[in-house]
Amino acid sequence: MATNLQFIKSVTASSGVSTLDISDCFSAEYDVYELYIPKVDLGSNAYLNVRFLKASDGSADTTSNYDSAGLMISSISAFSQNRYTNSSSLSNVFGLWNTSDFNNGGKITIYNPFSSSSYTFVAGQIAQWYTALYGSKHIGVHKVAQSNSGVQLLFSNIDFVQVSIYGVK
Amino acid sequence: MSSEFGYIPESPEQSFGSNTGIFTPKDIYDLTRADKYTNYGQLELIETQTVSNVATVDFTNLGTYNVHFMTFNDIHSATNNVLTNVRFYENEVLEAGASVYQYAYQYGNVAGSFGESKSSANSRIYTLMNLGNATNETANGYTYFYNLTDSSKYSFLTFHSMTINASPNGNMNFGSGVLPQISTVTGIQVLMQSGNITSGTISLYGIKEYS
Repeated sequence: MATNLQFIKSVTASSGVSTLDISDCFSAEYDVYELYIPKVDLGSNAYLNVRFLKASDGSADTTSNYDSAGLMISSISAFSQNRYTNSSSLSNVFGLWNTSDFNNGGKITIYNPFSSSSYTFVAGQIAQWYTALYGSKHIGVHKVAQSNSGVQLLFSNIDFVQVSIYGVK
Repeated sequence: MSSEFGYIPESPEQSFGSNTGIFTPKDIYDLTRADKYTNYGQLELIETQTVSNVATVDFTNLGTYNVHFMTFNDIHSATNNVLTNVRFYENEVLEAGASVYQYAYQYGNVAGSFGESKSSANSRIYTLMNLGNATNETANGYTYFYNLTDSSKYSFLTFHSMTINASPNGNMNFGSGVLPQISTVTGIQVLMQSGNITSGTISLYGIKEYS
């Protein structure tokens, strides 16, 4: 099999839902995944939060085992840090979106989500529009050595969100 | 009898990641053109340009990708301590207005200087910082572009790069930029803040998606 960036699936959500589940996207085929978030239209302003879906039953892991940190950058405001420990999701480090229809996202790299013997790590970079250019450079960890089968994106009031996930060979 | 192993009377539906059957070269050709044949390798090279003593490098074939990826390799500048920049073409016209772009980036170097830089009205987006022009003072990095080809979206980018300045000290930079116009971008231009690109290799890739 050719090595490369290998498409796994694209998923969309629309019409007022608050979460987007990318289910059954992780497997033993890959250790590293690239999650691209190119389209984000929201009905209300929101941070993006992230959880993982447990391989055992496909449900979101809502336990307080997520740590995250990010540098929030902007073309009009002083840069700032957001950081959290023992949260119920990777919180508020992926940037703040507003309701502009012409918004978008970026990319999050996910490490070892399917391994049952290691934590799941993320690192990424995102740009978005919130009255001006905003963005973030961020890291996070899911501190549970369990196999995860998918990832859940939490916004509030989604008009339309499109994401695509790839495995890295 | 089970029809599990036969395709009569109906052929199985073909899609990326789910192909069933025995395919002729024409089948493969047709399915590939219809984005229904599984060929892994979704980081698709659009173009590589290896340049020498040029003022600008233009990429005018963007395809239809939502996400583009650009690598900068071994970029040498003719002018000392300058930044490498990106501008966009809209409908084949270079967008070079004095205040049309926004950017924000974090920088840091091995001498301990860290800080932020930003503008909400600039003529270009900076992506590779403070590049010296002596031997081995080069720039390397990557940039992701989002929604360039979507006529209903702003055009965003994120970047992460490393350069060696004239001190010479290593610098890291990461940040974002935007052309806040609802438009279709038809090209990307790379240029120095001033002077020529003495040499370097720049590659543009598309991140292929399937519905």
